[in-house]
Order: sequence, then structure tokens, then C-alpha cells
Amino acid sequence: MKKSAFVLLSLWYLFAFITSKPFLPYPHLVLLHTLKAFLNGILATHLAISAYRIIIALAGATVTAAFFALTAGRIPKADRFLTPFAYILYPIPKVALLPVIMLFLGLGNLSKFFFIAIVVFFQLYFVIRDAAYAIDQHYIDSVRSLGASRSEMLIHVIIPAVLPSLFTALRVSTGTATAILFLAETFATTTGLGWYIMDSWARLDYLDMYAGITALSLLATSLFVLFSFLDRKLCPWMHLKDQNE
Amino acid sequence: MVKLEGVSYSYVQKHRSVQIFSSCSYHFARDKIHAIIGHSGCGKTTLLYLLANLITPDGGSICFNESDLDAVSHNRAIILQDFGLLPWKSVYDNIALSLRLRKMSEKQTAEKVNAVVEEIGISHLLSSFPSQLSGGEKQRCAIARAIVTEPALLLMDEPFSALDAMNRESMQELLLAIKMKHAMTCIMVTHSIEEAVYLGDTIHVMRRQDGLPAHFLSPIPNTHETDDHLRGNRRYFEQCVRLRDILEGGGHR
Repeated sequence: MKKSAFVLLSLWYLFAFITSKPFLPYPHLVLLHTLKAFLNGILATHLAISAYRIIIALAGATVTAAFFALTAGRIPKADRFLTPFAYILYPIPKVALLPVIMLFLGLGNLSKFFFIAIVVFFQLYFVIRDAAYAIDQHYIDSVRSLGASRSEMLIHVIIPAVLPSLFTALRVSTGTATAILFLAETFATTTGLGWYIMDSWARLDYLDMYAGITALSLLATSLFVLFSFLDRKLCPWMHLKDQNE
Repeated sequence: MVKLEGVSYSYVQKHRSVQIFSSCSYHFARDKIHAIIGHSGCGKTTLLYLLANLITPDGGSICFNESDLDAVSHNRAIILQDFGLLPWKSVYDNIALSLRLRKMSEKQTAEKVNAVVEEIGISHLLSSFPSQLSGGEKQRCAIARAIVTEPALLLMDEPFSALDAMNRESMQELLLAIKMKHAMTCIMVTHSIEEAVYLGDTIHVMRRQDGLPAHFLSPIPNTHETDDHLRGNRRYFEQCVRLRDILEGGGHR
């Protein structure tokens, strides 16, 4: 991890030195400016707004996708009903729906939540549905033979069995969600890191622009680290090799 | 006693109904080890799943000690072929699961789990996950999970088939030791003639030919209870040869 960060920073320094353009400042200048912008509160405010939007959208997408995906994955009739809709809707470029979503849900946070959530929903749905479908019948039989009810089966078998796949899907979705957040915040708003970056760019304030990009990257990285942390905490049986090393 | 009365069971495969049992009546005596042996596909596992109430018969009834099988779910345990341990639960949690499902307090659960792991010899593995265990340890864990509820009926689906020869023998000894200590009826499906002869108080040969429903041949009483070193005993080999002849020798004995 440290080596990779060192290599990337070195490459950044090299390109900044070779190009010598104002729109590619040195990393230490970006870092200092980011800290300054953060301490004066403006960047922190936009970061908090963006974090709020992406967390609510991811939480909403996770809960709804988990509900539909577990239903489809474990109940064949529900799968035959739900999954064809998912197959038809998934390839539609949701980004193109942004104007429609804004027309329906307005220019406030609701349209942004929905816009991010609808993109992430399908990534989560397919992964969780496949994981739920693939649960070994022996585990089901084993717990059913102990007299477990449907809700106990959900708690002791279905949810733990799909949890590692859910966290993998969430980690993969973090990048997509952040990209969609940026896009959503570049239209009809004056808050959030997307707006902050585009506004700095328009003002040719490149250090400020990079401060916004750094904050957005930190937001995505924090979510990625959070999901990895939760994965390790809640799915310890998946990380036994790491413990042995 | 486990009593099947006119039990029928079929399932649909490729739009075709496959009849496994048709008005099958049979019984297994109480507090004995019953070894069920037969060729692949004859319906042994289906029978076990019916007894475990994991599948429902199309007709007929299954009783355990004069009660309907539905009513005795808490008095019954099954050990599946691949042990059925949940990979996401530690050994302790796997064993404790059946007690927790019965809403037993954590204190009582811990007492019972600790007692059974002591008996089975896996108390050092309580915090391990199934993927960290050897085949023999997994088997011990599966046995511990099954007997922690003190079942009156223990069902086993080829419980030792995944183990190497030495582990298999030590597990068979363990099962016999447990059976000596706890009064229970064991019904064990096996492919192994030696295992059936070594463990079974009674051996039941199942047969199903030409797509017809399965039926049992007359039960074969076993006489191993008086033998200390059965595996080296001549009668053990004779019984194995006899059973092999029955299995290979067509429909009649």
C-alpha cells in the first residue's frame, strides 16, 4: 500500500515537472491548499454535504437491492417475476435519465439520492441475488433439520451466506457511486464537491479544483475502507488466511 | 420405534414423476443402531430426509415412539454427508445453534456445549471456524452439534464417507461410545459394507430396480455386541461376505 502510494506520488511529481502547466500543480502544493481549504470550513462543508448524499443513496440502494435480491435468490417464483425486469432495466444508461429524474423529483437532494441509488441498485441486485441463489442446499437442510423458522433461517443462513458478496459489491459500487455523485452535483446546485470542482475549474483556480478532487477521492476511499473494515468485522471466516500470515 | 405406515414419495425429474416409495411400511426398533445399505439411487437418502422431516411424504405416515414425526422435531438430529456445518459460525456457535433455536439461555447453552465438546474431545477447537478443521474434527463437531440436544433419534447420512480409513475407524468407535452413554435410536445410511456390519445392530438392505419403488429386504440382525475386537473376528468377515452376496445377488436372499 505504502509502496503503491509512493509510486503514484512520484509519477505525479514527474508529470508535473515535465508538463510544467498550471493545471497540474505539484502534490505538496495540492496537499497544503486542501488542508487550508478544509480548515477554513468551505471544503469541509461541501464534503459533508456530498458524504450525506452518497451515504443516504448507498444505504437506500443497499436495503432495497438486498430485499429484492434475497427474495429473487431464494424464491423461484419471485425470481421469475423480478429478474426479467432487472435484465431489461440494467442496460439502460441511467445517466441519461438525470433530466427525467430531476423533472420528477425536483432539484433538491431527493433526485440526487435517487440518481445515485438507481445506478448502484442494479450492481448490488445481481451480485446479492446470485449469492443467495447459490447457497448450498446442505446448509439450508442442516439448519431446517434443527427446527429453524423462516426468519431464523434468514438470520443464521441466508444473510451470513450473502454478506461477503454484499461487501464486495459495495466496494465495487463505491467508485460508481462517487462518479454519479460528481455528475449529480454538477447540475442545478451550488453545494457538494461536484459543484466545488466545476466552480473552481470555471474560475481557473486549479489548486482549489484539485482540493475538491482530493476531497472527493478521500470520500470514496473512506467508504471503500469502511466496507473493507465491516467485511473483516462481520465476515471473519472469510479472512482466516490473513490472520495466519 | 420409528414406524413408516404406507409411505409414498415421488418427485418430478425432467417432467417425469419418479416414484421412490409406494405404500412402504417398515419399522426400526427403538434404541438400536440401524445401518441402511443399498446401491446408489435406491432411495436411502430420501428415506433419511423423510425421517428428518426435510421432505414430506405424498401419502402415509411416519411415527416415532407412537407420536407423529412433526411433533418430535426437537427430539431428532441429523448428520449430513458433508457435515452441514455453517462456515460462518465458529465451532462453538455451530454446536450452540440448535440450543439457541430452542430459546435456551446463554448460560445453559454454554454449559451444555462445554459438556459435549469435553465428551467428544474438541474443547480446544471452540473458537475455530469449520474451514480451519480437518475432516475428522469437522465430523466430531457435527456429532457434537447433533447430540448436544440429547436427541432420541439420530439420523446419519453416510457420516464417515469423507474421512480417511484411520479417522473413519476412530469416528466409528466414538459413535459406539456415545451410543453406549446416551439412549437413542440411530438410523445410519452407508455405502460401506464393513461400516454397516461394524456399527449396525440391525442391517437393512434397500433395493430399487428398474424404476420400481424401493423396498426393504428382511432385516439382518447383527451379533457384534458381544465382541471386543470385532474387526479381527471371523464372524465379522463372514457377515461382510454375506452382506456383499446379498447386495450383489439380485432381488432375493
